[in-house]
This record gives sequence, C-alpha cells and structure tokens, in this order.
Amino acid sequence: MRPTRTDLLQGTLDLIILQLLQGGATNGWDLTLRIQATSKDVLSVNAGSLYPALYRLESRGLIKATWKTTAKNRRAKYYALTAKGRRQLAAERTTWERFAGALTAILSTKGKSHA
Amino acid sequence: MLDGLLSRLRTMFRRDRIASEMEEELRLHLDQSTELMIRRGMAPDAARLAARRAMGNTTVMAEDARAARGTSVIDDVRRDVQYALRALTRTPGFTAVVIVTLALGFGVNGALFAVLKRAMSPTSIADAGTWLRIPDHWSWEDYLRISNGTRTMTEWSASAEEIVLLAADSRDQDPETIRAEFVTDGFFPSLRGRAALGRVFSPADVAPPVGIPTAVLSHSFWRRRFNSDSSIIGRNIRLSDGQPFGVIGVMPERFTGTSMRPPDVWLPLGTRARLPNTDDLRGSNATNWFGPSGRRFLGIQARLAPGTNLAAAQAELRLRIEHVSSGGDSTRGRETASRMHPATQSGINGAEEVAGVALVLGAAFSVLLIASVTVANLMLARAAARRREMGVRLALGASKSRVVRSWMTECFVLSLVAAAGGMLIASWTMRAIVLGPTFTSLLKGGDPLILAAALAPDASAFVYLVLLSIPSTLVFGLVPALRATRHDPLTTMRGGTNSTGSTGGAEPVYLRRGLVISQVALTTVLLLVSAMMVRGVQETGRIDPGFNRKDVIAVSPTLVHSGYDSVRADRFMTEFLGRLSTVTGVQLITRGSVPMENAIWATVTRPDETLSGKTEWNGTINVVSENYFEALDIHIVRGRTFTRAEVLNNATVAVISERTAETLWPDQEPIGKVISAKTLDQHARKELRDGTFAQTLVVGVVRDAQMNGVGLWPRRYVYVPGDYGTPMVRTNGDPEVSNRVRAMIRLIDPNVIVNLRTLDEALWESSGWLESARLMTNAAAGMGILSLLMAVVGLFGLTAYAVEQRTREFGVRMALGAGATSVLRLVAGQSLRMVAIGASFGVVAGIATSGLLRSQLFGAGSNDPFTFVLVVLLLAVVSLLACGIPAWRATRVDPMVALRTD
Repeated sequence: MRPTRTDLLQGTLDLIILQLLQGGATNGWDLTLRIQATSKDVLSVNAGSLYPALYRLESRGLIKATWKTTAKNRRAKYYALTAKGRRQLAAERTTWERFAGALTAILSTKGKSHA
Repeated sequence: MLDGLLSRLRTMFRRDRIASEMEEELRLHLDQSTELMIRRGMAPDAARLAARRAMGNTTVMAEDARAARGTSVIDDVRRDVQYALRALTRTPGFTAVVIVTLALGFGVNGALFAVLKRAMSPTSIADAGTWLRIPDHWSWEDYLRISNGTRTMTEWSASAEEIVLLAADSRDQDPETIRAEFVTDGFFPSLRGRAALGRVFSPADVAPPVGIPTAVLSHSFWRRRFNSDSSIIGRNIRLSDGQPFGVIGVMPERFTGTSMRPPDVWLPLGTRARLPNTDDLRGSNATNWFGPSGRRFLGIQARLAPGTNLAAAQAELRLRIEHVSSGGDSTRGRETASRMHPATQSGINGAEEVAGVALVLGAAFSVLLIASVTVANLMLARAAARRREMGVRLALGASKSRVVRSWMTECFVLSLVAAAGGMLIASWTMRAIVLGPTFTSLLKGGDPLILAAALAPDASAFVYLVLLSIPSTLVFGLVPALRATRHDPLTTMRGGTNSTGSTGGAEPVYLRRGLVISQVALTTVLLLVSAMMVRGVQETGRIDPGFNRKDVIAVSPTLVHSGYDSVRADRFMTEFLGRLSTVTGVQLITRGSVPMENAIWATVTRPDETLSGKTEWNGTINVVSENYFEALDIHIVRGRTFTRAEVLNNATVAVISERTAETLWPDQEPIGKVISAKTLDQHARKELRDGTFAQTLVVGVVRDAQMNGVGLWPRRYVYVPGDYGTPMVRTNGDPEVSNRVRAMIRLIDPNVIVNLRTLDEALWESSGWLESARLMTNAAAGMGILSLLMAVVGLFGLTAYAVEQRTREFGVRMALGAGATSVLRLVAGQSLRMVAIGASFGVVAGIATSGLLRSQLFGAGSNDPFTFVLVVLLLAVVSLLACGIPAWRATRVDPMVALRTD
C-alpha cells in the first residue's frame, strides 16, 4: 500500500532543502530523490518548484552553487550551505519546532470547547 | 546585502549564460529522471515523455526561476523597452503623429510651468531662503541704528534705485537715461555676487556721505552700450552733467541683483549726494541724504544669521524699529516685522494668486489631456490592428498582465519621447515670444536675453513633464491595452477582426465616441476661457476713464538728470512752454498730475470732521493750471474752473469731483463750502505752502475721473491751482505732434531727454497687469486653437474610421436606393451629435470657470452670451468640416465596389 502523497506546506521547501544540504553539497536531481526517500515517499517535489527554490536560496546567499562532475562524468550544479544558510537553518528549525509543538498540542486536545 | 546586489547586477548582465546554465541543469534532471523510469521498466520513448510531463512547463519554470532571482522587473522593463522601440520604429508615420501630438501638449505645459516657476520665485538670489528684505524705506540713520550689532540678522546692506542720465560720449551719440542702484559695500557679498571683470565696491568706495565715484556695470548694459569691451575697466562713464565715474567692474550675466531685471549700473551709496535729485530743481536746499533725520530713501536687506529662524529675526527687527521710530510707534514695528519674509516667499501669496496658477496649469493640463485623448483614439485603432499579435503572445504563455505591461511600456516610451520633444517646443516658443517684437517693447529697455534665459524651461520643468506623462499615458495607453487583451487568444488568432466591424467593433466605437465627446468638452472650455480673456482685454481698451485718453500727450523733460539747477530749469520750462504753442497740432497746453502716474496723497476733510488714524490718507490733491479740465475733457458740472491769476498765486480755491461733493456734502450745494487738505508728500510740501490747504473755498465741481488707476473712482479728489505739474498738450489727433515736440526740445538743449506718452499709453502702462493679461490671453488663445485642432483631428479620424468600417453597409443602402443625402445625414449626424453633447458639457464647465476667471482678470469672465454663442458657432462650423469630408466620401462609395470588398 502506497502512502498518500502530501503537498508541501507553504514555505517548508526552503527548510527541507537547507536541512538536506547540511549533509553536504548535492545536485538538484539527487535532492529530489533524497526528499522522496527521506520522507518515505510522503513528500514529492517536482522540478518546477525545486529549481526556483534553489535559485531563490542562492540569490539570498543561503546556499552556494558550484559546477562539478557527477559520478557518471556529467557536469552538474552542486549546492552547498553557506554560513548564513546554516544560521538560517537553525533559526527556521526552532520556529518550525515551536509551531509543530503548538499544533500537536492543539490537535491532541479532545474537543472540550463546548464544555 | 552587498552580495545580493552584486548577484543581481551580475545576473542582469549575464542573462544568457545564466539561461544556458539553467538549461543544462534542467537537461541533466530530465535525463536522470528518464533513466530512472527506464530502470523501472518503461520503454525509452515513453520514459522520456513521462519525465518531461513530470517536469512540467520549463518556460514557466524559467520565468519562475528568473523571478526567484529578483532581476525580473529590470529585465522585463529592458526587454519591453527594446520591444517597444522595435514596434514603434516599424510604424514611423504613426509614431511621428503620436509624438508630435503629445509633444504639443507637453510643450504648452513646459512653457507655462517655466513661466509660473519664474513668477513664483521672482528672484535669482543665491540662497534666497535666508535673504530678507526689510519692508518700507529708511533713512541712512535708521539703517545704521537698525543694523548695528543684530544677533539674528547679518550681512546687512542698503540700496536705492534712481534714474540717472548717461551723457553722450561723442557728438553722434544720444544721451540716455539709465537705471542706477546706489549700494553699500555689503550689497554684492550678501547676494553672493562676484565681478566677472574687475572688482566690486570696497568700503572706501562706498563710505557715505562722500564716496568715490566708481561704477560696476551690469552684464547686459556692458554688452549693449560697450559691446562687451573688456578694456572698459579703468575708463570713465559720464553721468548727469558729465561727472566722471570710473568703471571698476562688470557683473556676470546671471547676476541680476535683488530683482529679476538688473539695473544698468551700480554706484557707491556715498555718491548719491553727488548726483542731482528731483528736489534740487525746486529751489530747495540740498537733500539731506546722510545727516540726522535724513531722507528715507533706502531699501534694506539682510541675511538670516545661521542657527536662527524667521520668527526670531522678526522679533528682533520689531524691537529695533520701535527703538528707531521715536515716540514708541509700536504698530509700525510689528507691522513691518511681520511683512519681512525670505526672498523665496515673495512670489505667490494669497488664495487668489494660487487660484490663478491653478487656472493656468489646469488649462495647460487640459491641452495635454486633449492631446492624450486624440492619441487614445489613434491607439485604439492600432490596438485593433495588433490584437492578433497580442493573441499570439497570450497563447504562447505570456500572462495578461505581462502583455499589458509591455504595451504600457511602449506607451510610456512614446510619452517620454514626446515630453522631451515638448521641452524643445517649450524652449523654442519661450525664446520666440520673449525675443519677439511685442514682448521686447513690453520690456521697455530690459534685456530680453536675460529674460529668455530666466524663462527657459529647466530640469524641474522636465521633471514636471515626466510626472504629467503618467496620467497622459494612462489615458491613451491603458484603455486600448485592456481592450486588446480581453479577447481570448483563440478567436483573435483564427480570424483577426472581422471586416464589417459589426460584432467585436461595437464596443470600441462607444469608447471612441466617449473620448471624442470629452475632447470636444475640454476644447469648448478652453475656447471659452480664452474668448472670455480676449473680451476682458478688449473691455479694458474701451474703458472711459473720465478723461480724454487719446489726444492728450504728457511731456516730461528729464532736466534734473541733465544737471539743471532750478534757475536753468525755470528758464528751460519758460522757453519750452512758450515754443510749445507754436508747434503745429497743439491746441491747448496745461500742467498738472498725469493721470495714472502721479498722485499727491492727502488728507481731505470738512472743517466739522475729525478723522481717525486709519483714514489719514483718504484723498488726492492734483495741482493744475487753468486749462487742465478743458485739455483733458473733464466736464465741469457746477461752478467754474481756475483763472490764470489763481494759478499763478496758488489761490486757496478748489475744484472737486462729483463723488467728492457727494461724499462730503450729500444733497447739499458744494459751491461755497470750505475744505481743508493736507499732504506730507515731500515734493508737494515744498511747492505748496508746506502741503496744507486750510480754509480752501470750493468753486467748482467736475465729472469723476479714474485718475489714480483703472477701476478706481477716488472719493475725495481735490484740484487746486498751481503752475508746477507735468506739461501736457491737447493735440488735434495728429500722431506726428509727438515727434514735432521732440524735435523742438532738441533745438533748445540736445542733452535733455524727454519722456512723451499719450494718456492712453500712461493708462496701459499703469495697469501693469494688463501686460501680463495680454500675454496670458495670447497663451490662452493659443491653447484654445491648439486644442481645437486636436479635436478636429480626433473627430475627423473617428468619422473616417466609422465610414471605412461601414463601407459595405453604405454600399448596400445605396444599392437599395438610399440617396447621397441620407447617407450624409447618417454619418455626419452621428458625429455632430457627439459634438453637441461635448459642447454642452463644455459650456456648463465654462460657466463654472468664468467665476474663477472674473477674480483673476478685470473685465473678463463676464458671462456674456455673445462669447458663448461665438465659441459654439466656431465649434459647430469646424466640426461640420471635420466630419463633413469623410461623410461626403461615404456618399461617393460605389455600391458594386463596396459589396465586392469581402
């Protein structure tokens, strides 16, 4: 049974990219695969959102791109976190955790609003 | 931050490389995706397709990616501009028409903006915000006491203007009167004026009461009189009766002193006492220029000290003035101080003037609006022609807003080019007007080149035009753009517009009709306003001021400036008056105040009347000789005029005006009553028993006359006998009399300059506003005609367009037997209906505007039906022509040809 695929929450793609890049420089294709794999196929990112997101992060100076050759000897653009990106990741992660924590807390109440 | 900026800049210039890199990256993605699908068991072709589908629209992605980089706006604008230039150069004829139409509209705005800017800040003073002019006139003693050791004001200077005579250097030169300004040494530094040649005055040059006879020339005088000869420094100019003044400097062209029109020369204040003064002629003692309680002849200026403000300066000035005017006249100090403002504020004040400026700018703006509407009509046609292109762009994935934006860019490019053209038109017309004959004669010796430079539209005018181009572009760009993109791409690509224009064409026709109606309405308003202004000026030309203005010439020989003393002057006058009667065409000779020019202000009272301080200067005295009333055609209503004996003895009798009699003794017999009149006027006091006429017997009453200015009917006007005033002659109407009088004076003394003018000229000259009113009227008439032309073009265009679209219909009609007249009526009727609607709106707006106009221009803005009928008639005739021609063409349609066009 395949799990249902979920659309990305607005704004979370940046966080995902930053988090995944923490493991080291990666190219766009590998990122796509990795998002799918890590999220156990729940999240899928299409190229149409991934690449613009990468360029946006790059122009904000959070990641840096360099051309390298892949294992199969093709030229590919590898993205890596910058120091600024690392700080941004830390900040966004805290925000997310607080948000997620709050949401979980709300969802775990048992509907006593009318008591 | 800087990184981001640099990256933007880099990407902007390396768009192509970025694009190819992105392409490579996306290709890699696609390949790997395909590979994965093949590995999962898909056929290679299917895999490639699937991968491509999964990837989505790469063009959109590229756009998104560019947007993500944040360079898209600049990029888009750049591409739009390139695209616009390409599109515009493809249709040079259309582009030229649009640009010329708009440029005319912009030109009017640019020119008027320059004029108003000049009018609002009539100063070329550097740093005008801190430059203060102390109101009123002051004596030398006052000046020293006010200026000494002030805290809030520094850089004091004093100045006084006077006409002086520049003696002829050689036989073949004529002497001339020039304008001199006597100044202190602080004058030039406080105006930040440095000499272009030589130097300005030192304290030693100036030092009252003597001063060293030196002179600094204004640039225009130097150019006019000395041909810009730089060897003038160190040479002498001869003033008055030939006193040498050494030229020490020439000011630069842009330096115009404290007003817009510079004097011809600046002289050291101390030398004031060396040159004659009007008082010297009258047998009085030498004028007290610099002694205690001396003559109040000085204007005073200062600079606001750094770190203070206007309020503080006004407070200090008030204390100073209270200190100076003995007796603790506190009202004067307060009043004078409150009128002191920086030079920047001296231009426009008061709601009326603001309304005037708004009126002029509003009129100019409506011309631009009319131009824009004309262009909007052209644009609608063009948009229709380009609908197909727009459809293609929309189909290829460009967003609607993107297409609209690119269209608007095209319109803005047009607008900006037109604004630049408008600047050119504005500066040409300003130059043409200022250097043209009418204006030069209005200037009366002022240097038109300086004015031309001052009135040239500058950068701020261009900024104003660029701002105006926004509403203008919106008017002519937005409507067609929105219309053109509304259609769905499919229909437009399939067939374009249909040839009969019956379906998709209906809406633009309504739109275009609306545009033409608004255009006609605006034109009507402009025509009405200019017609009302023209009528106003005409009205003034017909005013009956109560005296004969055509056949009376006032003759003022400037004896003082030629260095005459009172004895010589008397001798001259006797000889002059004696010979005057022998000049052919002279009928009567008299002396007195020249109406509109000189008035002796006085307090006129009944013996039983006490006046409060406010009505202190409630009347006017006019000292006249026996023929005054006859010469000027001022009719005697009751009693008699003066006898020769009374004139020679300054008898204590008076003639008063009707209004004066009515004011002083309502419903009583004024003859035989006694009045008292008193004046503090310096000249009058010297010649008229200290200016006091107590117990003066009224012997006559004459008709009212507007002696003190157009529209002014003095309520207390008293004529007394005396033989001092300006000589005036009543002529037989022959215009050559002036020249004969001039020639006669040259015979007596060639070094005497004479000022000859008819009372009509004196009247026009006195009403300084009339000059500007004439200019304003010409400007308004020009704008009216310009807008009429544009409206005609719009109307013609629309009718012609309609005819073209309905060619087939007309063919059918005529084939079915419709006569030429019915087709004519059909076409012309439609257009004329629009004209009628527009004109009615315009007339209503015109009536509303006339109130505003009335407050601006004497005699104008009267809602006289004649003006309205005239304008509407003009409009009717012109629009009949504009739509008649295309309509006539419609009747010439050959039914066979028309039906075959499809």
